[in-house]
Amino acid sequence: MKMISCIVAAVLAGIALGWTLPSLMNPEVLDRVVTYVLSAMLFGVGISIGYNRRELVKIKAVGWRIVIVPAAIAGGSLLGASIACMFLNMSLKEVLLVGAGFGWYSLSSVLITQLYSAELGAIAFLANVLRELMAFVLIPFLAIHIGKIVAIAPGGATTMDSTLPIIAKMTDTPTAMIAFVSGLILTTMVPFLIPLLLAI
Amino acid sequence: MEIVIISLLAGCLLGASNIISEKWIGHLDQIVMAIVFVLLIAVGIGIGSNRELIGNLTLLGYKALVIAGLSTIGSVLVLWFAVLKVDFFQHHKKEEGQV
Repeated sequence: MKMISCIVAAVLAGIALGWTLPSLMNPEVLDRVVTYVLSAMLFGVGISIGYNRRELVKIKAVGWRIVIVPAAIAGGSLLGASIACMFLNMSLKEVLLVGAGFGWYSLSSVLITQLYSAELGAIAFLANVLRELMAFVLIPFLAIHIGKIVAIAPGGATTMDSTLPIIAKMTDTPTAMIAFVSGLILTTMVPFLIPLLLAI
Repeated sequence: MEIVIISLLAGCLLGASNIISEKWIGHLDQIVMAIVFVLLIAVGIGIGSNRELIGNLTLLGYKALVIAGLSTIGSVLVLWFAVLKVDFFQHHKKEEGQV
């Protein structure tokens, strides 16, 4: 929860800065700087993913079936998001882009702001932060009332980092390992899926 | 934007190689978190300097809530359905038994 408050504080600080000094930022310069900073971040994330390849070997015992978990989460998220376009004044492409963040608010909001619009980037940020918040509440509930594996779903891409401790606490070690791999696969998908959806 | 994907892949290769030690990975998480905060401030600046966007923040929040809620419910339902069809735990226990 401390993490979430820090995140919201950072965005609010940025909003205040942009509001008081709108002339401070030249959109083109900001764009270019953000692209490089984003590349640096993904380079770091890539190192973690590559390094964690060693973890993947450990759960070989669960077998290929493990990919069903992130596939179901990705498919379900996109399906759910596509229903949203019936209620909102947004195109199918827009709701899918927001849903394709799978809870990874920092990447999805920046990518969508860069490649599409600041407005959709803001929606993506809010939606994916909300998804992470919902995950914190839903994971214990689903783990107790429905099933350990199902409890992995709301976390989306965050089950390899921020929501993993809660999954580990509420379920067991095999489920936590499945959650980690699922989060890893979904995290790897996001930077490919968002530009792909934009290209369609 | 290609640079973003290239960076991710280059990072993956570097991480998968044996150059990086475990000590570095600990620092890496902190560095990535620091960069995330810089990006979040940049996203905030993008929102804050756009007066039209600020005026619509309630509407954007409502849209975000609907999409987040539906995509979360969707992922839970589809995974629930998948779990009913494929029994991960039974499979896992069988594997454990073999080990």
